[in-house]
Amino acid sequence: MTDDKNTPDPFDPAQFRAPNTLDGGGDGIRREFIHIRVGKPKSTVFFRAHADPAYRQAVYIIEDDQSMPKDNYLVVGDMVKALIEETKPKLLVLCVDRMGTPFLWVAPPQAEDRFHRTNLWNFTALKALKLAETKWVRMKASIPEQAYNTYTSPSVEEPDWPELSMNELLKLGFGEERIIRNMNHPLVRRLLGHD
Amino acid sequence: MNWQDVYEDVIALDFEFVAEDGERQRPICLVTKSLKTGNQTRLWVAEGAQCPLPIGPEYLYVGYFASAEWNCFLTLGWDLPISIIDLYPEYRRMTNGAVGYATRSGYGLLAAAGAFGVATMDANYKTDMRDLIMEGGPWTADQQNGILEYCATDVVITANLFRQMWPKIATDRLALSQALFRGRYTAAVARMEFAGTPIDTVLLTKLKSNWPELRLHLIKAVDQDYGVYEGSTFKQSKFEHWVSTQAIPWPRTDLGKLRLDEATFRQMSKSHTQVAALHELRITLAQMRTLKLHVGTDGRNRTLLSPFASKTGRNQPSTTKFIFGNSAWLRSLIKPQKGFGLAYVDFSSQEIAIAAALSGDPKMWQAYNSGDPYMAFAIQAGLAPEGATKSSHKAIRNRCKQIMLGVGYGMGAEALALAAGIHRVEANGLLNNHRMTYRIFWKWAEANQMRALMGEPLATPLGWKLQLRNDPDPNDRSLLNWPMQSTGADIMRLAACMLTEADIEVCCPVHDAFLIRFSLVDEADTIAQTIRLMVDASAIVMGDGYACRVDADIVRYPDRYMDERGEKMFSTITRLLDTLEATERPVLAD
Repeated sequence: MTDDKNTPDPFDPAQFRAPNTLDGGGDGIRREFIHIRVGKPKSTVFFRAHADPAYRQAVYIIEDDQSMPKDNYLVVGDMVKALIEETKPKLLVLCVDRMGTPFLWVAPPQAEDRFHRTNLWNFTALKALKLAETKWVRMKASIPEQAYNTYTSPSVEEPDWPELSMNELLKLGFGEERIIRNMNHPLVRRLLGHD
Repeated sequence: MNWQDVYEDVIALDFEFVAEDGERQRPICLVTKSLKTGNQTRLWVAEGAQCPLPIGPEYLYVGYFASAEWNCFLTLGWDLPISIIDLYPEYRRMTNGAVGYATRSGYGLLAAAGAFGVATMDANYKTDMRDLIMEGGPWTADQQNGILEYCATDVVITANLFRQMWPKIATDRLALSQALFRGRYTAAVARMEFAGTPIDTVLLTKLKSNWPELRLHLIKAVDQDYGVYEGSTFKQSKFEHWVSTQAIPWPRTDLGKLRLDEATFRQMSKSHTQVAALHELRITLAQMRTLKLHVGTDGRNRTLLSPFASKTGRNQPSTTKFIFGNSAWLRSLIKPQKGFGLAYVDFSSQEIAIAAALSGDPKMWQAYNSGDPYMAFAIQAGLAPEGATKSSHKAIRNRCKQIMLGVGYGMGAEALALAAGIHRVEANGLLNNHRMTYRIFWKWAEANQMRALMGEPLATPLGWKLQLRNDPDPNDRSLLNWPMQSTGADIMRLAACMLTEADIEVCCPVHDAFLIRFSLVDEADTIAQTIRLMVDASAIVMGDGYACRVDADIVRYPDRYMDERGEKMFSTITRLLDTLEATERPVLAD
């Protein structure tokens, strides 16, 4: 090797090995959510529910039975009073499945119905919600029992929560189309027989 | 960076040589050109010659597909240069992933020169001169001058191409060092091609001469279990009947006919083992019809290893000329000579080790480190209980194995279902299990895939590169898998260099393994040294204290190499061959 030329040594790995060429990170590419699902957890997936109150919101919802699957419409402001007969109080909770896909669970706000009777569907769903705050949970409807069966996984892996605020999640979940702000909304017009 | 600042001189060179099937190259002439002085050296070497060249590291040697040049050096008994840049892998690397000129024009010297605006020769002139050389001589004095002139033209093109490519090759010191490493590998390729794989030529000759008769006996013997041949003709209707009696969900064409292509047979024989013998028979009949296995007069199978030919930078030797490209039973022709042995030394589950090491997924590394990554995956995913073993949970281990290997090859649920012989839903479930268990790996792999799809370059630790350009329909699955396969190629390249430089006789590389030949006297030392060097190579490439495990299967004279997948067919064929040879045949009158 000639010193004055500082010729590279083809036999020295330190000269030709580059560290972290395939580090897979730091490249600024991330999954962008342009829509998230609003509804119940799917019966085939394990999910976790966010325990932080900032990711829960009491809301009023109108369920459109005519669409398949049912569409949820968020009712806001004065429209709640105006449409009180049509709306149901619900609890929106941020959940995420094992693939890191978030969804907003339209959960019951309490186990009892308006006559203070315990509804077993709601009761078992809320139990599953509580469990999902700390464990991976799968929830499956059992028609004979008129309740949800709940399964937990021993996995202790932490979920990948999306880096989004609840406001952003609501926008992604409902979009402007499914937010009812006034009586001219197409669903309201249909429900009131104006169309 | 100017080359003058780094090297005493740059020497472009080219040999003309005769290359007969299976034989070592026979060099005819050498022309070199010094970039420092512009001087040319023309040397007729057909009768042998002393090396006129300085080969110290301060002299950079430049060729195009330079392994051919080093083969000539070896035939002439010359020492190989130390500092090498082969412009072929450099051009291949620069255009890897680009659709357009390179994919249309190929990767030959004239195509590369065209891409860099370097004046070239007429392609017809090149063909005519190659034909003249391949006639093998003797050549008249005029013809010799013509050949030297032609060789000099190639060298001038190579030198001019180097001048154009240098600024793109030596962008910084790391890039230059990586190019030199690729050049170093071309010397290892030459050493492996020069060595070749020892073949039992007596048996090969018997096979060839008895094949017309043997063929019919073989069909009869194998078809006993199937009943799908009439004479030597494969009958689709009979095969349809056999498939239905076996209740095999055989893939069909759009017109509803059974798919009979090789890929379908290969996949189906993996998932339905009863298909394997018929598959092997069909391949054998097709291959023996035009057996192209290149075997030299020294009894070695020798063919171009075609380094850097694939997008992952792996070698791509001919599937027909290369012994390991042929069907599994034909590999039993590999046999060491008296006093020697052969070892098939392979990196154990290389793709899994690389995936775990580069992604930094501790769970996946834990699985690899357990020694049985497939069983470990089953346990980690909750598909088998703690303490489950290969014998106690064979079925689920096999499924997990297919999934882990399939992920390494970039297979989707559909292909995995076929390969593992399971329902699509189950394959999807297992794939999801894999994703959930190895989340860090998947995040890493998908981030790399996204980068590639964004048109950003991906590069391996030793600098092989892929960058998508103008590709209207990139294969996203192969992008997912590219880092593992390409880093595997890095490891193989480095290991090939380290082994051949340590004077270990490497007969050939075989995907993630090497076949080496050793004297029985030095067996223990040679095997131990081979394993150590291969482990070291993997540790250098993967870094951070990770290293692959390496296993060796050893064959000693008079035994022969045996691939378990071809064992049954080989024993059937040799039995039939013995019967045929023992049968007294009538002597026909002239």
